[in-house]
Amino acid sequence: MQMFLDLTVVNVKPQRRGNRYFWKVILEATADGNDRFAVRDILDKCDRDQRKTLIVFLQLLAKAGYAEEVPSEKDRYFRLLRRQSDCPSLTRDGKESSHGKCQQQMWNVMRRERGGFTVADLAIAASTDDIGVNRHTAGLYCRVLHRCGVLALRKDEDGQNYYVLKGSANTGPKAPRRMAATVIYDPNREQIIGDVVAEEVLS
Amino acid sequence: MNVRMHNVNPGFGTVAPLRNVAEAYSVAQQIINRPPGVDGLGLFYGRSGYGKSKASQYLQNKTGAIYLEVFDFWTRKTFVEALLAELNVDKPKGTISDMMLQALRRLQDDPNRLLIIDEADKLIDKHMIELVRDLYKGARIPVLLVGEELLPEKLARYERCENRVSAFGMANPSDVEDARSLARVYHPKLSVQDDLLDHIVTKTNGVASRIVASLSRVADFARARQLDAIALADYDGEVFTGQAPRRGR
Repeated sequence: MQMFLDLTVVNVKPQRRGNRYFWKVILEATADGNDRFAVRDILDKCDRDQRKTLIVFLQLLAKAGYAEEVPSEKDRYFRLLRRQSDCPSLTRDGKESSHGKCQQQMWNVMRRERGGFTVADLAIAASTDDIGVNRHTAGLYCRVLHRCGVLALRKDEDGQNYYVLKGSANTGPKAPRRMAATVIYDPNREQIIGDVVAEEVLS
Repeated sequence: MNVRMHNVNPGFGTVAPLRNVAEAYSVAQQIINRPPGVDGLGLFYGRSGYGKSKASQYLQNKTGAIYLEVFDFWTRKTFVEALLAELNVDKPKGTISDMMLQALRRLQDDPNRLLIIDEADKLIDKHMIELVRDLYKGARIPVLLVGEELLPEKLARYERCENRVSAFGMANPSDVEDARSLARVYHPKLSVQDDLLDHIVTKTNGVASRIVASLSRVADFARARQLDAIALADYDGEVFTGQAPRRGR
């Protein structure tokens, strides 16, 4: 039999791992103008057992020209070659990845179209020649954002649906991202047990 | 805009093939890829309705630019606060100079990231354009000012800003070629003949948003009569010449 639960999520805390987090720590470590940093210093600010994933990320940055390894007898050192505020989104072979760009482009359009937009308007306005946003993707993102109260759904005089970004939901330049989590529920005690870790939905 | 559509999957940006988008993109590229020592202030200007904002929207998405739209009520403080918010500073506070320093530090982290300032002529009207000059001087980032027809003349009053402008682009009214691109993207299944497109462009004075609204009526008309191609002789519906559609710009 299917069960339904209402969850109230409070205290969301990003984990101290993942490329985005590594990048942030690297930027902080090199903010004083000294571009060289030790792997160990970055690891000190991360969750445990991150050495392997950090090295993989640094090697990827090196492949893409964002960093280079500095030969050293002790520990491993890298030098940051290119600074940018957002973590570079890279494929495994070191090329720029388009991951997350569709959502970002749609979010940019949503923030600017104060009068609202249909799904089709959004798909067209958010597309660029290299990153096309199709109608299905736009519709899915609108439905997700509507469900969580970011977009309001309205009908125009022809009865056609259109969405409007709520003023209070326009919180900043970064696009809301879809996350998924598996939770384990104990029906005896009516409690969620264990930690709940959400991961971004990659689609 | 009030467009009802089926299977819209253009595959590339709507606005991409439009002349104004190409023009704005060319200005942006000139200031982003400028040689060392050349100033990186660009202007993109033209009458309202010619699609400047749509073009800048494309630029924002294409280049990952920071985008600011200036409002009449803005003060220096709101300008800097809005900029910091776009640079991901949550609830910026402090004096204007503190916040400017913070913005400069953030901007310096992305030396090639374009900053687009829409309705930039309002900054000049309110004597706030020197803030942009400071930003530009302090962080050396490429800055594109987007504004009305008189933007270059207005900027000329501020000599120190004007002589840093290294690229100009002008928004023009849409032509039949543009209308054809819009028809293809908004109504991929309908073939709108050139004589009808020409009629629409003339009637709407080349204002892009009105062309899109008119095309939407043409598409409704064609759908009701189950036409997959339509010419001027087939169409006795209206062309949208009045106000811009209620939604969209």
